[in-house]
Amino acid sequence: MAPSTDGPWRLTWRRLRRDRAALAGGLVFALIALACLAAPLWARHVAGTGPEENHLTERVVVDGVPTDVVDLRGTPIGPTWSGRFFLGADSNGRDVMVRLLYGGRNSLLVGLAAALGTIAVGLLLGLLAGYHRGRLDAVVRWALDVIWSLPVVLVGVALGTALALGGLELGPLRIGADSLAIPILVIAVVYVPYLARPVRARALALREREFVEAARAQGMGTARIVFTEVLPNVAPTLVVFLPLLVANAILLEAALSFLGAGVRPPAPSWGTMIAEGEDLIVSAPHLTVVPGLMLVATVLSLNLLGEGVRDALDPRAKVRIGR
Amino acid sequence: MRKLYGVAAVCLAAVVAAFVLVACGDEGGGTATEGDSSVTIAQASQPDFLDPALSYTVHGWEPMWLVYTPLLTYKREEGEAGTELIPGLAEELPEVSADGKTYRLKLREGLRYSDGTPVKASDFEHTIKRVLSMESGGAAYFEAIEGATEYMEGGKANADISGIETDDASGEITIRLTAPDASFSNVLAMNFAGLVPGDTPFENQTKSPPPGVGPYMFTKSVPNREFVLRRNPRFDEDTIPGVPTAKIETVVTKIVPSVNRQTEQVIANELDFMQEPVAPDLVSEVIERFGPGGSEGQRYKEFPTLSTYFFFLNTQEPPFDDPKVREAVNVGVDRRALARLYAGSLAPGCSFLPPAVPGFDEALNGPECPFGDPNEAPDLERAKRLLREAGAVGAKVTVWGNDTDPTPRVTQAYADQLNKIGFDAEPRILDAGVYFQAIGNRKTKAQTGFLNWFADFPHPLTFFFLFEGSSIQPTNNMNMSMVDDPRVNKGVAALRRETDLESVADRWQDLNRYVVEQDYLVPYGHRKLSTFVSDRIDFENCTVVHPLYNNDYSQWCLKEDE
Repeated sequence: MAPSTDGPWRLTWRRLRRDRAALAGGLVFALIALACLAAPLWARHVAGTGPEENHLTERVVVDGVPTDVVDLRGTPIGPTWSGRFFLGADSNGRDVMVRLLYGGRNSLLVGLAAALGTIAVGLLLGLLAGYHRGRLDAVVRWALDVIWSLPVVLVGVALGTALALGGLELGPLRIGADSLAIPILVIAVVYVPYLARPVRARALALREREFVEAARAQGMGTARIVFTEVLPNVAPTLVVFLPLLVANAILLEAALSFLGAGVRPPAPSWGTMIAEGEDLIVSAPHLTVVPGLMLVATVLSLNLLGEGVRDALDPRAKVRIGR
Repeated sequence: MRKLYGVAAVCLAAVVAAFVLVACGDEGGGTATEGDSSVTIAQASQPDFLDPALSYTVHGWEPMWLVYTPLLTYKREEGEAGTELIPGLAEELPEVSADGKTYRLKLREGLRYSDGTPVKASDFEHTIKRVLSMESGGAAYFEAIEGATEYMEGGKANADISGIETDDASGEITIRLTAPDASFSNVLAMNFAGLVPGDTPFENQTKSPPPGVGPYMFTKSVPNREFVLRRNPRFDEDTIPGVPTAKIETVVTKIVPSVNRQTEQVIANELDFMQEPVAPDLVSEVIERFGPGGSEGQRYKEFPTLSTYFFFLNTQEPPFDDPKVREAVNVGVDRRALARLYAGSLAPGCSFLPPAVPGFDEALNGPECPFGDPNEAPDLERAKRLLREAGAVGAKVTVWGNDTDPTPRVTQAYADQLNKIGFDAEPRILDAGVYFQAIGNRKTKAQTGFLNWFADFPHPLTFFFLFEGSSIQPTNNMNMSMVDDPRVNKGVAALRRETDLESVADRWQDLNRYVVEQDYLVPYGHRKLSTFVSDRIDFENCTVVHPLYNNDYSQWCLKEDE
């Protein structure tokens, strides 16, 4: 039998296609992402309201009966299963379905951007520390250990709360207190060690390999070696980490928003929606159940996809994020 | 198979995570210790201060009036009887000179603070100095004292206030005012004037509250976590006739941000009392089970308060420096909608003065409200037109609110209503423990935001304090609308002298209507509060709701079988 001529990425894709759980995860995530991207269409053409518009004194017809969106006791209407208030209203009379979709955009945006931020910083630090070793490695390792030793949620809440009042000013860079960039930055920072450490370990191993030695012997500069020889060999690690990082970032965003240190109300996110629904968990359970289910579905689908990618790239590898 | 386990584990973890989010919002409230006359109660946020010179919130005053008794105080009774002044640390009510400018009092003999330090007449001057020098929100009340303004301008904390003379040997205290003030006896009964020892530092003592004279003393204060009141062993029935001793040995107050959790824990008898109104989600259940005639015996009641809920409009910051813009806001705000967020405990209205305070204008709470009947839909078209005429369409506005339920939702609803009129408004929610300090700091330049006001004493002056020009100060400012209107200042100064309040009620009513018509605020209603206690507390015999200080912890007692 002739040996396979497929490249590693094609081989990975072939393996992934055989993993039904991973494909299902990818499909569910894609559907959720598409639905969230279509939020303005639903809001404009179906619900007829924006995510932050209150309808406290309005009435809707449910089963032929005019019903208060929010009654005199402050209890909001449940799902109508029709265009307006499809999934009910929250205590401010806002359409839950519209907020769910817009909230998903915010949650996914924060999750993706934070994960990419983590990858950018973690990759840079990991490669530099692993390839250079010596003092630089010691300093980077020390910094990573410090961040690693702090509880993620606690650090997130502390940073989020501190930055929420006055925003962040770094020279000419000015981030407003209500900006989504705040939770993105906070989450990106706290997850850096989770990526930088394995990248550093991989770079340490790669720098001793023959092809790197050969590149050095040919007189290639450090930067060129790192980006043309080492980086391509670290890429599979990044691919495995990306969906897992996104899933964890979405969860952390939800936790921070729930605790008041993430996305700022009235902007929706799944975490803020759960927090806002907590006070009405008895009389209006849909306010917490609906965003909770979306959160579960998204995180589950990303984890399934991530595990599938990991198995496809290296069936023997073990990747974990979180403690 | 391994993969199946992995999927199951991830599923489980995600579901658990979702529920953990709901469960991990705050710390638990703790359990009342049985058998040792101790109760555990909850507040949703840390009081602004646990220092009598500085605190100016219900969260702070409710516990502190049991620790720091002023020279004068109020009868410990419910209803109108509770608004009657009685001597506190003074032997008698003050002897007021014929011109109404000099007050003479004499300290009771043998008084001691909870730490054993003897109470001296000069402590009164020190107490007032702390209020004036620490830029307390209540400082303006004491500026009527001769020399108070000079003292504040001098900037020396230990300097003398010329209008206060004290004699430690005889216990005599003489206070001279710059002008007659019929409400000054009430001012002397305010929490700010609760005596503290003469060596109490001129700085915030929240972490270690000073001793006072009262049924309770502070024994522990951990900001944002808990504070503890313990029965003052040096206070007995004879110390201040009319002020009862504490029946319960220890009152532990936990900070439990979730009102839902507080309610659930009181229902389950894990907390003995909640300072906040019952959570809207559970109020129907609580009324059914524990209200008057409830299925499980009464331990819940609602009571009206001398309060007004409103949004301030900073008249010195754009865009609300334009009267037309302020009018647009008042016309466009939907007061019915805001009332729904209070789960039936708020009656919509436009009157600044609340019912039962002389000067209250019932007509303003109906069709005669200049902005339209507060019980009807607002005239959005008129509001939009006014805003267009003012050229303020699209004006950026930050709406301030705190995080105590339902205020975040009220703040968001108000911001949305501003947006519907044509503003570009964004809510900004702060922790309730720092809210008043933040918006009361002039550097914040707060444009508009949530405010509620409960009567400090049964007099319209306590409300108009919010709009007197002299109330404006750089920090701890309570005149959030930054109103310095000669007509208000002159009117209040004149009415302040009148001793027969009922005879000038119509003039207060005119002033009430004037501030509403000038759009210095966006009043939206008056609120009922509630008392909800555990089954351990003898609800029928021992829960007293004071008209000014709400729940009187010192009169609580446990049922006999506890």
